[in-house]
Amino acid sequence: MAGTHYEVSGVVIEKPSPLSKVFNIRTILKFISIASLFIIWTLLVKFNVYRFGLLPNPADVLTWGIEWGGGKIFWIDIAYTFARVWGGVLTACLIAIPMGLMIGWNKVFSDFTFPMVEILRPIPGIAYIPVAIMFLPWEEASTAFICFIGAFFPIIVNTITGVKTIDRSYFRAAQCLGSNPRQIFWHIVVPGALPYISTGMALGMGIGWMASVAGEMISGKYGLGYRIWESYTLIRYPLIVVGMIVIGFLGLASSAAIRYATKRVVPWRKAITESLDQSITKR
Amino acid sequence: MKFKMVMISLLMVVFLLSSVPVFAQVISDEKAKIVWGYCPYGMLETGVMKAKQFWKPYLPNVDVEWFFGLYSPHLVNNWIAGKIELAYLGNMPSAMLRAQKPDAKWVGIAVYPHGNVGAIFVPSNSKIQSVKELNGKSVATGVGSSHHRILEEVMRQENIKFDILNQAPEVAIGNLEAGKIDAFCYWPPYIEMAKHKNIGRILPPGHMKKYEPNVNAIWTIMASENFAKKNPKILKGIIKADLDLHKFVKEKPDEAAQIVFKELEEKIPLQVLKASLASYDYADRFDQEHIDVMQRDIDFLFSKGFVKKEIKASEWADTSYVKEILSEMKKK
Repeated sequence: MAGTHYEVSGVVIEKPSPLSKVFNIRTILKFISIASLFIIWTLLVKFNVYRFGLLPNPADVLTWGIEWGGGKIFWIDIAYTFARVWGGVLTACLIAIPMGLMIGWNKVFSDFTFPMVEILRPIPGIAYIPVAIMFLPWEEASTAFICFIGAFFPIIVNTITGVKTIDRSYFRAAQCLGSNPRQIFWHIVVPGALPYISTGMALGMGIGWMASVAGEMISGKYGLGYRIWESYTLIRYPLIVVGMIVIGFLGLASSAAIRYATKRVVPWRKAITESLDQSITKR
Repeated sequence: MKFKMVMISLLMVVFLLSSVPVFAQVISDEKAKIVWGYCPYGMLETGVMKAKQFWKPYLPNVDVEWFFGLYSPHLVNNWIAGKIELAYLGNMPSAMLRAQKPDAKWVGIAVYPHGNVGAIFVPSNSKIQSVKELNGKSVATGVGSSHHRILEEVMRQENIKFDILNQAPEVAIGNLEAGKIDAFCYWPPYIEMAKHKNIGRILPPGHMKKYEPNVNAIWTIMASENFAKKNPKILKGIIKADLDLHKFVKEKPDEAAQIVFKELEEKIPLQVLKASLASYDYADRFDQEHIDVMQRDIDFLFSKGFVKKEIKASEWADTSYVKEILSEMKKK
């Protein structure tokens, strides 16, 4: 398990082997954390602590999960929800990021559009369902729209914040060096806001997955959120929990994908988060 | 002469007392507060029960706290969570409840719907003119509901196949208007509401009587074993009150519709409520015919995998309350 060694400025550093990257104390602790959740859940249900006896136990959930997961429908449900959430969130990115950049950078544009954003922002996604049904011509678009609404506002607000927090001296320096507004936008505003944009996208993705359950109430055939809703009306509690767990894992994977992409596109963000991580986490 | 006068006075008192329902019919005078689940939008007549308090002559000291549910599954979930022990429920949710809670007793028949509570709607500009032309199309209904079973029966008897989409009626109405589905099939008052709002047109013949008795259903009165054991007289009073409710709705349909109109805060047009209530049928008895209807529902749910264990309707139904009331009424 011991890794190879290398020397930097006279200091010998051990490079971890691939196996020790997986089987280390941190991974074991994470595994114990998840296992404890299942053990606590089993005990709470078994001994009917408070009203936990009303919930399905992990064994039932597992049985239903295996049954559902073994069939074609499970994968169709995942594909539908995945397409709706990603479709909704990516569309939100396409609209919210340019709009947020403009609101943050241009005062006139901000005065004209920001009040509208602020009025629409507190309205929950579920309230848009009747509008989505009537307004959008395709059923899939109506469902994805609810995910879009969920993701749009965190992305736009973070983008605006990203622009607002750029150090003003960059703008002054660029102006002194003769940059035109277009150059300032592309070389200062966009890269300066990227760390916040990536945070907004990760948040938006999470909320997009949350909104999928509400959005899929109108889908009527496939989707994880739809399956949860159907299970509620058909009194299949274990399947509700399976659906929740699957959404949790897919949401986690989607956010991880965004974080990974962010590290590639915004390398300086990695430096910021790592230094923060080191300063707040006791090793 | 004096004796004659006393006798006449006594006879008059007896006559007067017996003509006052409260004195003549009280089943239990115990003081109690009960929680009663109902979904007045799906089972309209329950709004009349709430407003008219038909239980009062039999149970003068019983106060009812009404537990609202938009649909029966909402009540079933709350029952499982221990919040209610007595409810009016649709047929399929009743069976699903029984599958989860074997102590849920089926003690009465609220409504006995036949083929006139179902119709298939298509958009006004649809080319579909007959049920047969639904072959290969998409039809929305509540999956696991009695109308899901009706649609399966339509497919079986007409030898066609269409895609059944699970949508709440209010969602499907919007989807039909927006042209996202080819048709829908729901229960009252949504059928009458769709007619009233001119949302689409009904495929002829506009009802499902052709498919009777396979499309008949039983909307139940359910009570838990615990409730029945603790309050046998109260339960009997409730079932007797429900029989009075049937009589009232049948004899005074306009007044019943007016009451429901007020109960639902005038949100549903009066003519919609009148037409919906007129489509209901009631059973003033409880016997093998109804048990067989429920068994067909259970078999359907089992065949679709919506209930995991087989239930015998005959073992679940407790006809004793209705039979006892009917025999007492006969004696009188």
